[in-house]
Amino acid sequence: MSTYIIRRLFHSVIIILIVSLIVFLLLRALPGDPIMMLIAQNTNMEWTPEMIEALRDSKGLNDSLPVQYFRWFSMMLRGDFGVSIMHNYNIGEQLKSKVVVSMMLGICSFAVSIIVGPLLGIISAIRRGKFIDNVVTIFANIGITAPQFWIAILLIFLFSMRLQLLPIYGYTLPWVNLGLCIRQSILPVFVTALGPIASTARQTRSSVLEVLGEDYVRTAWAKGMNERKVLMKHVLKNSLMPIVTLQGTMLRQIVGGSVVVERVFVIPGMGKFMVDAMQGRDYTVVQSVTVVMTLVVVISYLIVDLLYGWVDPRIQYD
Amino acid sequence: MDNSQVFYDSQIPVIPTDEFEVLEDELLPPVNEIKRFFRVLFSRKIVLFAAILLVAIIIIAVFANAVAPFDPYTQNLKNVLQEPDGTHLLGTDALGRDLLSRIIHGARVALLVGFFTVMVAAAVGTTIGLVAGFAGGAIQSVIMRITDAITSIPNLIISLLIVGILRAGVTSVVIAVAAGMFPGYIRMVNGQVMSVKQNDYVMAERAMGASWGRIAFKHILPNCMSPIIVMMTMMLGGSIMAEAGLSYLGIGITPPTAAWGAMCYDGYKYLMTRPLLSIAPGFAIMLLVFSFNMIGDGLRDALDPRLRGTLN
Repeated sequence: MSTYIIRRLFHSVIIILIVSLIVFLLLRALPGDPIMMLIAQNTNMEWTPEMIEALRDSKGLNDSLPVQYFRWFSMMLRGDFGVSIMHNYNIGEQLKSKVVVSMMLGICSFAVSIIVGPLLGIISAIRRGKFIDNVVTIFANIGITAPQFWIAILLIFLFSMRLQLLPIYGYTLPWVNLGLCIRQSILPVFVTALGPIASTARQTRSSVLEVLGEDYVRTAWAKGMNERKVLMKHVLKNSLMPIVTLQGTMLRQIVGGSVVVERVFVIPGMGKFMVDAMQGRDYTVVQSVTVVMTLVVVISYLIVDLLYGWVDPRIQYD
Repeated sequence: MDNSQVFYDSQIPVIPTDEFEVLEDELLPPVNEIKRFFRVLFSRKIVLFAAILLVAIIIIAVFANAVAPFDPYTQNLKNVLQEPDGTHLLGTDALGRDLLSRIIHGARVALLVGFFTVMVAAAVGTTIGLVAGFAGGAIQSVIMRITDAITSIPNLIISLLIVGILRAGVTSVVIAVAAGMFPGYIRMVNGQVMSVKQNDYVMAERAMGASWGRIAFKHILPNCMSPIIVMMTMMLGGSIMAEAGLSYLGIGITPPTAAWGAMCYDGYKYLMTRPLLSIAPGFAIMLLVFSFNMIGDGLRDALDPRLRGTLN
């Protein structure tokens, strides 16, 4: 087991390395020179070629690509994300506040999806073909086929504009104003969680249905076990595997979805930070945010892989 | 004894022809694969509905110029933000363009982007997957590790980076969305190659001196065909959603091109007074994605090799 964990950790580190390299190279291929954009913003100064060259030097853009890459990566390992080329702020500090906001929303969404999704799936599997099953199926189809921003727009229109129940946009941290935070979180969390809820519910439904047809479940019924015990002890436990497998992908979807959701609800999180930086062609910010987002995904994949052994003791790590 | 003899010698009892046909049918079921395919595909009503919906959308998109009541790009600043009425069935947008016409033309963009994205992703992914599977060893590990790395980046982020490099536009959106999707094909094809390679008939082919190219086209690709087709149909929906997301963020297909995602974004500013401007294009996205997903579901059932050669 411990060798497996070490190997898996090593694998994760390699993935982070490759991702950082890919992102670094992709961003160097971007058209548009950040220094030129910086100069274009400060028109009140007279720029001589020597000054531009000095500025480029001070930002470290004159070094060779490998040097730039290793400097960036080794700085990041020490928790230093460097300084934004365009706006001269410390990326690490900015990132910290954005990560907190995104994490709050992401964790809430994940928690909601991991509770509601399997629950809906189990209900619709048990009541297969009944009214509630159809309702869940339709809900799941909407969750999978409707674009997030559209669901967000619909909900804003309904709950914020027509019924005036919830704020339209913004985010407040819970320790600043808990009530406002909850009211502001409801819509974004629901929109982010909807896709994962739908996928998880569908997966749960089919895997529960499969387990319900197994011999040992029939035996459990036959020996007169009560419904709750059969479902919790035999059915749920044995249908957990595919649901756990799915959760890594779901977290990745939540992280990616934050970009759109944060934009719609004007939430100052990582996603919005990323899009703004992208539009401003702020290399260093984009590459750092991407690496942080990927890190979250890689860690969640790692946790899912380790959970396998707990969920399914038959799996041998070697 | 006598009786049976008489019976035996007498004429063979006449079997009514219809009964005879039934008997023959049961003995030798002539399974028409194509018929079976369609029967399984449309066995669920929702798939049939989705197929009809999709055909309707495709027809509307192809004949957009004839179907759309107005030109989607003609601005009429005297007639902005009209409420829906007889002439403008869904009203007009902030530049006085007919919303319905723009949605109809948007179907073209969505279908084009979806189709080309999936083609690019499938072609690139399948090729790389084949190479990885055949090469094995170090080359395979390197390719698969890079694939793992790419699948760890959220799709939308990959697309964002690529669109950033290529600048907004239909072609770059196609490449950007495909870049988020091709690792799926690499994984699948690589897995297929690995498993098919083990088969005795592939060994036999190798022993007879067949090239890897021949094996790839004669054995591996036919084995991958049905999962690839299912994956492509499913990814059509996904890529249309991804394109809409990018366009909504303002970095995908940019105005004035009638892209549904961008229309949602433009209309959002008038949500309070003209909700249809942002809700109607989004609904169109949902219908199209829904029909692709349902057909993908149906195809998965119909192409299931375990059902091949059976009736029902």
